[in-house]
Amino acid sequence: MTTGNAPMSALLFSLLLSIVLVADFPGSGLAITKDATLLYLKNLSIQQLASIEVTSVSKTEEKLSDADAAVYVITSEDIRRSGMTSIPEILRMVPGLQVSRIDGNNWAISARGFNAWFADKLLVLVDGRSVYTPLFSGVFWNIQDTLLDDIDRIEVIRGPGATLWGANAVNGVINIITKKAKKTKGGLLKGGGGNIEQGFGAVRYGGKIGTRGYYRAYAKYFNRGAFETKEGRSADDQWHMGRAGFRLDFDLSKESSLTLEGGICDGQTHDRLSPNYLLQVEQPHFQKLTTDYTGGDLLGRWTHRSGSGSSTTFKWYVDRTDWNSNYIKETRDTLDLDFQHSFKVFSRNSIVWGLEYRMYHDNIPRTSYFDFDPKSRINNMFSGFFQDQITIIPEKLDFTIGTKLEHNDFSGFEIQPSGRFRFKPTANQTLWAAISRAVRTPSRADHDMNVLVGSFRTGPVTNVLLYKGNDHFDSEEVVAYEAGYRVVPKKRFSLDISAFYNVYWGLRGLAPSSKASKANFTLPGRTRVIALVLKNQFHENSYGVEVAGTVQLARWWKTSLNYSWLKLRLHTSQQMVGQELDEGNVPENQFSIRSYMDLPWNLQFDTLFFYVDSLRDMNIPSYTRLDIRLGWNPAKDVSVDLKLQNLLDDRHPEYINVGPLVSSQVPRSVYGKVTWKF
Amino acid sequence: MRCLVLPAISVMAVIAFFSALTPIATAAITAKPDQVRAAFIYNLTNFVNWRDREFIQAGDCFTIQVLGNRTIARNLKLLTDNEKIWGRPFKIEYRDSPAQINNCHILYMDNSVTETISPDLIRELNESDILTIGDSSLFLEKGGIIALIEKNKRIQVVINLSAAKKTGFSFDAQLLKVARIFSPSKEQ
Repeated sequence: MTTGNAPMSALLFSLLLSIVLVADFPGSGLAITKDATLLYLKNLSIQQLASIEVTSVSKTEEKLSDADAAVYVITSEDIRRSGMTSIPEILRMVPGLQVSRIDGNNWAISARGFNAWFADKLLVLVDGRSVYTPLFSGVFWNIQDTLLDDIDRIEVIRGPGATLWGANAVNGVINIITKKAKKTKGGLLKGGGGNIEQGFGAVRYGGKIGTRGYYRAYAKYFNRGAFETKEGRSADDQWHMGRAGFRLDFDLSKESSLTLEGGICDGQTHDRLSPNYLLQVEQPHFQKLTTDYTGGDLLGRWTHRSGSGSSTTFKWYVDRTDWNSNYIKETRDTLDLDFQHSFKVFSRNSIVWGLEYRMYHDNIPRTSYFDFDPKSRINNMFSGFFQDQITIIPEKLDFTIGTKLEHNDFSGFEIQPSGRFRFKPTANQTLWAAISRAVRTPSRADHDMNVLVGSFRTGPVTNVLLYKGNDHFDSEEVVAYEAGYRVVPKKRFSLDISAFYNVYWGLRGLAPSSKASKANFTLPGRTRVIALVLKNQFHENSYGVEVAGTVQLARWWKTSLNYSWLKLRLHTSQQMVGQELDEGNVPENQFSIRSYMDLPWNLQFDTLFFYVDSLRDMNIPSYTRLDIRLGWNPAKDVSVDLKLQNLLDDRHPEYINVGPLVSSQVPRSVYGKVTWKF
Repeated sequence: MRCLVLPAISVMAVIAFFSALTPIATAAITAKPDQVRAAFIYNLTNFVNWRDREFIQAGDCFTIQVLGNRTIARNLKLLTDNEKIWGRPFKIEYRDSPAQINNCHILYMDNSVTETISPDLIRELNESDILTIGDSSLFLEKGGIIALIEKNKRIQVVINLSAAKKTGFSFDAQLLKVARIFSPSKEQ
């Protein structure tokens, strides 16, 4: 066969192949087509072989299909095609996660239940930097952001990940991983706006430093308008935020590399505070709350991979967050040092071990509502972990066992072991099962908080409700039993099923305090303080099933389907006061469909559909949400996006906050965006 | 004439429908990396000259051992079925660990293995006149002779000429024209 004939024969061959494929499309004919491709390749010259296009599964996806845990990966493609503009909204795509908007700038996000404003059982890391705050235990989702184009992937692990990732990974871990600077060379400029996204813009530039280094730097800003009240009026929860950051990657040698990255942010959010939570007996009106956020972080990582298959990582970071409002103020500094080493022994043992030290320094000035005792604290956390993956039958059966030992100032030593096994009956199927224990360590608030949460009048006396922390508050713990099955029978189809049964002990609740105390608050004369103290009180079970599937309907049309089912059972005989663990606070059923279509004329038409079941105890009805994105590439480096969100209703509520924030409703919205790469 | 129009249209419609459904039909041929790699290994034998002609003519078969990649081994088996080289049939053997390598003419090593072995092993193989083929630049850094590296959705042949010279392999011009020459200083 000569080179000149190649295109023609390729065309003929592809036609032939398409007939073969079509003829046995639902059957097991893949082997035939595979072999047909090989036979075709066999007759090519070396030059022709060099020009054959190959398609391969990426490293992460390969690992994903092998993972012995309930892992879901959001790729940069998913992020781009979702048209979502913030990290918390992107997480809606993950099966088994509950993502609810409380108001314009606050989210309640959790895995496998226990969702709240500060959902405390989900650990979140950005390039290995923990953004889980030990103040209330939880994540300030409104300050977790970066240039979304620079995110390589978001890995979400449902179920305990404490053995590897540390405390508070009780129900899951979210790893947000940014691209290497090498992958973001050149410039990017984008901007747009709409009714809620009132104006946003970003700029990024990256390039090479010398022969071995790469850099990028970015800045972005957005201004988001208010959501709506039940009646359709403005909920006054608008916000704006600016952010800038950089990343440097150096290859020190063939085996070792160095990364330095950092960022700063500054912004302001607006919310409404409920009069029930304020000391306003006389004037039961919403009060407007303005919060100023600033933050900065710097992270360094050195990685060495040696020829013998071992690798060593040393990582450090510093982080400062500061939020300031009339309601609560906090400044927090974090220092973290982390070392990890992995190696193989006797070819059948893959061992990973590590050591970590973290220090927090905070300062929480007294406000009319919050009084922390002491006002400022330095907390230390030490931990070490060890994990061994033992291969029993190569590429078929292995067993992983490990534990983390951690010491914190509040609850002392914590042991978080896990055991997992994985069986691969064939190359494209994985069966796994795991048992693990994890803890949610006490937060600063659990220990030291005094907060006034409301007042009511009886006769001439004003009664004030006070929530108190507890020096004896211990860790909440879970033992989780999980199992899963994953199959990728054909390139066009994949299915991932996982099921879990979790048992929790010592969950946080409130109990009447025997000691009368008004902390350090100055209260008017005829005031009676009713104090409630935090205690490890509840025992709870949860169980559920999560299913994720993808179907490539055609070369130009890809769909993903997710479904999750979740049940919680609370066991307690005690009187419950103000507890937030109601069984009816989670959507029992959730369902989503994503569709990506590549159309002619460089057009893309993408659809997202979500169904979220009702939250019974909050009186939130079930809702459906439909988003549409139309993308167009008029030139190679230019893309234009039109995104319509929430098309099915004028507005709907997603969450009623148990706490001072007044929830608002999510309205229909639209925005347009232009991106230019140079 | 008219009676031909309808069947013609329906045939075209069927082809159009299925070609939209079939990934391969709409674009040029695409293949799996390990298919193209296997085809390259099969093809390369024609362009490589061993130092010792006797060595490659020794034994009843021309033996290729594949270390750590069952797909490549399987593909090679399909490619070499009923084929002969220098008058002898091919023999393809899959190996789990480096300890099991013996008496072969070509050794293909998967990157999962390359990551775990020391350069000494590859040098030893080269010195026993075995043509070593891998799939990563790490393989070449460790002294391997040819790597079939995936880059820009193509499989590229990269030759470590200095290692080849040391051990006495030479290559036909036709192969050198397609291949990239590995230079350790420039590699990342």
